[in-house]
Amino acid sequence: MISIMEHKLKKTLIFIIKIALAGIFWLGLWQLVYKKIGIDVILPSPAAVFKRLAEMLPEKSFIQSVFNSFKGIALGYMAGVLFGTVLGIITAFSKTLNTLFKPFFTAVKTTPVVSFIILALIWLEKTRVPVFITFLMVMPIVWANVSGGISGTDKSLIEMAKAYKFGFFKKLKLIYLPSAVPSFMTACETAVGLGWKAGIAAEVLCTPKNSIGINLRNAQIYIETVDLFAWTAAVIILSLVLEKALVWVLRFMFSRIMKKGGYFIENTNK
Amino acid sequence: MKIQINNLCKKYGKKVIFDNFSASVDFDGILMVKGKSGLGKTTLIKMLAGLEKPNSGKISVPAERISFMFQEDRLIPFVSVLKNLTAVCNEEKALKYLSLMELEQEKDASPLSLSGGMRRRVALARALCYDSELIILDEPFKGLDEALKIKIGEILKKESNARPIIIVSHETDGADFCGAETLDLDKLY
Repeated sequence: MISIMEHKLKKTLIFIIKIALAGIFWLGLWQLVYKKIGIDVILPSPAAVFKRLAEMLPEKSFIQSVFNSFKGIALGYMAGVLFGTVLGIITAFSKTLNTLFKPFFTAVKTTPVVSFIILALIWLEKTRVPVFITFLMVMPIVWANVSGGISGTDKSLIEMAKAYKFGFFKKLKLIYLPSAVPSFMTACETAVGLGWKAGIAAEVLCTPKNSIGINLRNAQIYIETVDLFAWTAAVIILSLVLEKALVWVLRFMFSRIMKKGGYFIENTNK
Repeated sequence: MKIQINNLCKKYGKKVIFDNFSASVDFDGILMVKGKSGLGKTTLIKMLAGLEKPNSGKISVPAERISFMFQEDRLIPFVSVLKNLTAVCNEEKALKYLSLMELEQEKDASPLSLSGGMRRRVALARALCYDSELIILDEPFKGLDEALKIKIGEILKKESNARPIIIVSHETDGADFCGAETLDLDKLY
């Protein structure tokens, strides 16, 4: 038992050291390039950026900006997951609706996000633009995965359900939905990062008050490169933290729901 | 129960399985359908159960609800053994059949955690506990040891007093376990 724990600890330590070494390598490279260029406005030093980030963190405006951005993006994300799931279920069962929606989702997936942001700026109030853009980026991913997950359901189970005259909802509950859970989870996880990045991009262009986007934009306008880097670092850190946290929350929620429904979670993850 | 098959034709692509096949079977109890591998036994019983449509011809089976045990177990892997059965009947009946199959200890287990023989018995229990007028079993003895084959043969014999059973098996001794009449498809062609 102890040796297993020691082994795990050793593995974790090695992993941390490897990550730290990689971090040191890239920071070192950054420092070298900074020294070579020597102009703070073009490329600030890592020390200056992290010092600025440390100064920003306790500021009320920073917390408020992060909270506001998170609120909007989270709302768009949740709406995207909800609509994507419902549309994924509907289009998986209706060829007509699938044919109807496919061009729309293909257009959304292939159109540059900036085009939608500009359009949304014309259509919507600027505080709603990041919500809408996140929604628009998340929904097709969830739709494709849910629809694909349901369509990929084991045909032999569907034939079994036909033999025993299962009704639509029984089939949905016992066969289709559990079959689609793994791809739904993958979609939710993939969409977090994408939604976050698209939401921030929308904020930069529509500059809603007290948001990460407006701070990035201001830093660009006033050529505050250190601030720009510090806010970008904050976005990266927040993205990583939020992604991990959201994935954990989603997995926890799903395992609770699946257990409560009497499903074997490990079998839905196959 | 009288089953009537008239001028049945069934093809998969270019492969002809049945070409103008006609037969009339009148039986009580258990009917064991035998025949060489690839002769179309499974296709025939799937058409009897309405799971597959013939290209032409007519099949008449005087049963609205038919229990069907597939050659593969086709258990729902996401829910417990008991839930696999309660999907087709009530819990009391499900427990009764699980007990008959000596699987009551496994009722909360995942079907994927069971051995091949156990899964076969769960699939059989599901077919038996479904409220039907006819039971069709595709290779029910597959993967079972001798003692279990005899035990299940006995269960099927009892069950056949209430509703007819059609068994498809390539095992020549299958009929002996449940005292079935046999229908040799080879001879009908």
